[in-house]
Amino acid sequence: MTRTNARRKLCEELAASLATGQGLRQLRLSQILEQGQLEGIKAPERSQEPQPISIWRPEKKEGNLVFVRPEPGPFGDHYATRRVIQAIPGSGSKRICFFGESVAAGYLYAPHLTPAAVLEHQLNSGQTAAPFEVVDLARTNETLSSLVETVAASLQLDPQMLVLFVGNNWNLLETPQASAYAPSLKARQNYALHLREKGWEGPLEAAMKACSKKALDALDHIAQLAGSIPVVVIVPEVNLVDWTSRQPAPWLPGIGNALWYELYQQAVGFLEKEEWDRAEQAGMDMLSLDDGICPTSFSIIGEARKGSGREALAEQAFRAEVDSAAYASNCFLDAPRANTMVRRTLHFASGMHGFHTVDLKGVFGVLPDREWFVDYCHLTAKGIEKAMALTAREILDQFEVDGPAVFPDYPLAPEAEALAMFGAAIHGAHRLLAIGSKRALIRYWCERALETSPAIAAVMVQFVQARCAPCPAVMTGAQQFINQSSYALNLQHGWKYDYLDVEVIAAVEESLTNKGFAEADEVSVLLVEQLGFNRSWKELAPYYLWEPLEQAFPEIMVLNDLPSRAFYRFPWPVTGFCLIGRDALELEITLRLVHENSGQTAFSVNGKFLAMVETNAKWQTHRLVVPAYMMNQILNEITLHWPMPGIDGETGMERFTERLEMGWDADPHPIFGEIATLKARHLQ
Amino acid sequence: MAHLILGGIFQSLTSIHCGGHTNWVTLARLKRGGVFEMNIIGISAFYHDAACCLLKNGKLVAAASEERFTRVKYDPRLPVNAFRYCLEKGGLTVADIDAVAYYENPVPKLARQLWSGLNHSVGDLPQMDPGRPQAAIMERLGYDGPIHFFDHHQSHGASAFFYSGFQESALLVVDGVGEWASTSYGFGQGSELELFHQVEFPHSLGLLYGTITAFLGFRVNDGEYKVMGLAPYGKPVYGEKIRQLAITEPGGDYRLDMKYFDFLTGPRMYSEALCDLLGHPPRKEDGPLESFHFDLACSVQFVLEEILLEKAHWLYSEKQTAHLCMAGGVALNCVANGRILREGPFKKLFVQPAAGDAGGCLGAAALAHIKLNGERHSKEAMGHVFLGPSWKAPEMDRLVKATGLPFQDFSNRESLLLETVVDGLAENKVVGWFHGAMEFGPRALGARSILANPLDPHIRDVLNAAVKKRESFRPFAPSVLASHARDHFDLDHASPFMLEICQVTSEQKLPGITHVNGSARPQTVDPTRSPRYAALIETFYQRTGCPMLVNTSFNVRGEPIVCSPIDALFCFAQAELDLLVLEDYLLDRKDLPPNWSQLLNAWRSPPGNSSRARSAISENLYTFV
Repeated sequence: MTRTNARRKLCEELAASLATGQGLRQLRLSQILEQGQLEGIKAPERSQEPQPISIWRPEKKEGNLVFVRPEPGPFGDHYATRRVIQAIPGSGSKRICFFGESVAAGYLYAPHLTPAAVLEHQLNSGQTAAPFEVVDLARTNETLSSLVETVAASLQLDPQMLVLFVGNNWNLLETPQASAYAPSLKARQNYALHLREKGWEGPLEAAMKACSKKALDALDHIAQLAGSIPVVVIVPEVNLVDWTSRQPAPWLPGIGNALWYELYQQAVGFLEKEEWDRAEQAGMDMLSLDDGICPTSFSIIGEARKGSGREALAEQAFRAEVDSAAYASNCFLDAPRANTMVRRTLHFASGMHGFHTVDLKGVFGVLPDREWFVDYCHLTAKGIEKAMALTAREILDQFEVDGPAVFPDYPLAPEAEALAMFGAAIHGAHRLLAIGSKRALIRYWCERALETSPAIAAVMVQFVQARCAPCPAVMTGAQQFINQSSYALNLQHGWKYDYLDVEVIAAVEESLTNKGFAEADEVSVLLVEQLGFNRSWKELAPYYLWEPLEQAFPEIMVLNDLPSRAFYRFPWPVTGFCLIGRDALELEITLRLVHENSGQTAFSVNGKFLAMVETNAKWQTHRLVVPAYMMNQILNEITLHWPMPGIDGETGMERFTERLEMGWDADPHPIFGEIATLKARHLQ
Repeated sequence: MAHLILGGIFQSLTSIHCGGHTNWVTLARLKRGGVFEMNIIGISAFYHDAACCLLKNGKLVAAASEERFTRVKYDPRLPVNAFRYCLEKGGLTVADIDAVAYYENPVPKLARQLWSGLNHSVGDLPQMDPGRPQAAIMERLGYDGPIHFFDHHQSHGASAFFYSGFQESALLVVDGVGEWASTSYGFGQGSELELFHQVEFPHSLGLLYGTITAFLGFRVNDGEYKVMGLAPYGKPVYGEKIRQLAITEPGGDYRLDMKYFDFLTGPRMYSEALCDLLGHPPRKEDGPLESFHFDLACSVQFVLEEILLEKAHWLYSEKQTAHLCMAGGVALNCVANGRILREGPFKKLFVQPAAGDAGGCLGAAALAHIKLNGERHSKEAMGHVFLGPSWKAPEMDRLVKATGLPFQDFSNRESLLLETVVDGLAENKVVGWFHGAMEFGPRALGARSILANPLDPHIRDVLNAAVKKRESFRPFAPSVLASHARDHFDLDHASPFMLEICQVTSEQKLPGITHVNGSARPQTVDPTRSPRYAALIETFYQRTGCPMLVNTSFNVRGEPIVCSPIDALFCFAQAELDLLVLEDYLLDRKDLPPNWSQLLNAWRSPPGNSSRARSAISENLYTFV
């Protein structure tokens, strides 16, 4: 046998071995033992040559070094709009560089109002000589590593102070390797190893540890870079009242998942009936099942305590909810919010490096809400004014400058404020996983927008038209209209949302009606004309899913490193689709259960029972008729109620862990059902 | 075709439920009229240009590449979207599939990957999982029935022979590599297909051509067309040197002298020894093209043709038959195909229009059909490639109106539409033409095409620079009325799939479609297969006396051919097309809002740019933190 042939034979034998489940598993187990290191943040490299500062590139203009950013695209971008920054501050001016994430960038208000602009306005309100200049280097989607790079580069601007407003993004952006959906073999295997060692606490603890290390590294680098330049750290606060984390429970022992969802159902009922004690008890029972891993239980407890007026206890529950959202961040869709670990890390590092802190906790009351926040962590104009006022006081103290007793308001056009409010409605509809209905919150923002600037009504109707179009909104005439109006939606307003925005559309219609706008009728007409049914079959999944992001995550997301599927999987026991129109409909659905389950799947329309079908782990096709008498005028919800998982939690957990060990993607929670197709057409 | 009659036994049930009532009516699943249906899905994936097809009762009803849906060129991922499309086109659900056929055999493929990988990169080992295709088909497509695996070259061979209409044929499969085989020789007869000899990796004509492609500064698996287009500008002065790289041996064999190649031991295709041999450094991507590059392209093309001709003769000596079927990526080299037909021993040649890996799904499906039914799915030749998605008039109407753009509606006025389009073409306007079902395979054949006037002396430069945004040397092909083809080309048979090169013999000056060496790659258009497209060319002929149009694929450089009218609108905005025809609707570039292109470009972030590893949520949704 030649050497080449011998090698080939060896490879053929190895491939044959890997083709057996046992062979591949042996290989994977041996790979688990190769441990990786915790990822840190690298110190930036220094250069004598002018370097870009974020997206501002160095240029010479009339012999002076300046930094120039590219023109923003037609929908804006993630950065401040200031085009040119002089390398040398104006004579006598005090330059402050301002860094941070979307909260610091004025999400939904930018470019009309940003924290940096408000801060500069406030700092200069009490004096005329030696003005303050705040250079806004905050950006949406900021990460720790790019923060360090930006701080390092900003030193070319000769700042006299650095202000950091960071921490909300860390739970989401800094620990992707600690996710059950992490793309790499190694990350999945590490996740499994932590699970085997400590149960659910294992990977979450590892995520926290990794995040904390990166943050401490980053703040350490910033301290070294700053040297004698004072640093102010704004410790973020979050919306505790209006933002909840309704996450599916992870695999729970025995029949824990079935019990948990039963309790959840009861709790929602108790909350609706304002039976606070019973709701809290149900939440506590859920907590005893999930051991505090899943934030949903804390949300319910917090809601119940708030309802019964026990604010301090409600705050405890809501903060525990934010902390427990590490599970959510690792396994499901969640919102960026600064948790206790983030707050502690910021305080710890500040103490160690002598940073000055402005802690926003308590500034907005015991239970911060929509008065101060447009969503989970982004501030309202009022919230920005207040947060920056505290920061301005701290800065003025450091510079030993007296400020006015009260800072004047930053001028904000009603159109810009209304746009931010409408943006809050859109953003909330897309991202909020509410306990119960979220319509009231979305409607609140729509109505506030209409009150603030009534002319936004026309844009709301155009928004609905763009959403109903059979093409990306950007391609529509409606979007053209919006772009040319005073309410131009931009990057921040869910511009790439691919599904029927039913919650926003419903809230828009209700708000227009409530506020007496004639445009309300146009919404109904548009819906029926554009999205109603006829005699041809129309596929409902995923476009007509009532809550795509919460009911079909991650299947519904476009994540290029996760392979997509040809069907939809549902990690929540209830799945809703929107049906438009008032006529009788015929539906055809191909569905199945998973985890070798069998049982009855119930269908309801607008809360009323429609039918029950036998389902099991084989694909089955069923046809259903929705009679006209069950339909509302325009918007209808058809709901599938899946049976509970057919396997015990230990088995589910073991399968989940084994798949991760093999390097395969795996679900940390039960999947209740799968739909291959769901089609509807007029019965007549 | 065998039809099995089932007496009330069905694989799954459909039930009808009426609101609030419990009376259930059991219906036959989709076994209408008691006739058994055999639905076979063919899949090629996980290397290059993934695709899916559906054989429904032996009829090829749908086929599409995944790239057309995802907009990622040559997308190798499991063809989830193409699969969903195939089911929709067939009126099926996943429960109705009887078999899935996969286009290669993962275990020997892994052995070959290990064999080559062990030489330089053990680091790749962790990801290697021969169970991946099966797991993906089950977990990602939701299919839980039998999966049939066929060898890569078997699938290629079947994609040619079983779609050729020939009852007997020799087979020649040539590509980069499958499992181990890089060139296979075979013979098909009736429902039998045998590959009787093969050349194995690393010796490969596909990799030889790919190596020179890389040396010339083009991307492997993408730039081979460019080398073919560049070749006529040069002379085969490096032929002897290329012959040192690829040494022919007796019979069907040949071998590569591996000292000139690095693909086994390093991260690039060619070695320093090749640079030394050629006496020139490799060209950098987008570097200037000089006579050396033209000559090198010409030389490798010449050597490839010579070797293929030689091997075709040997194949004929082994299996003396009048017909030859070809598939594999190298079979898309239409210059070589033309020579094999003209100078080779075979009287008829069938090249699978989707000869690359995408077409492997067709062959796998055909092989599965034989395995399950005992006979080939069809004795007819593949008549057309219009197997992709199409858009109905009401859908197009809604879309066009939603854009708010001015348009002309020619519904039920086809002749007026054609006259209006020809008005534009005669004025040397460039037209985006979107009509009917999308083509399967790399060629646009009048369903997703950019059309122009071949008489315009400047049209080639305009199309390359402004429209396609690609290299200036690239030639364009004509779509010619089949009835007029002989008057203008040295072509004595139909060439509906644009897979052969021949000389232009026309008395007309046809600068738009005539390559530097006087050749062209015509598509003959038959009104029975493409009635509207043929009518358009006929209208142009009546107007100008020229029975052909320039036809190039409806895309810009780096993007897949458009699939949906939305893609077409994006391309319309990006490329400098003057007119866009979306079925019965005509849009004019001058009516576009001034910032429309900018808006659309801002919306469309580059594909493949999002990663959970970098940000938890893709920017394809929207930014939020």
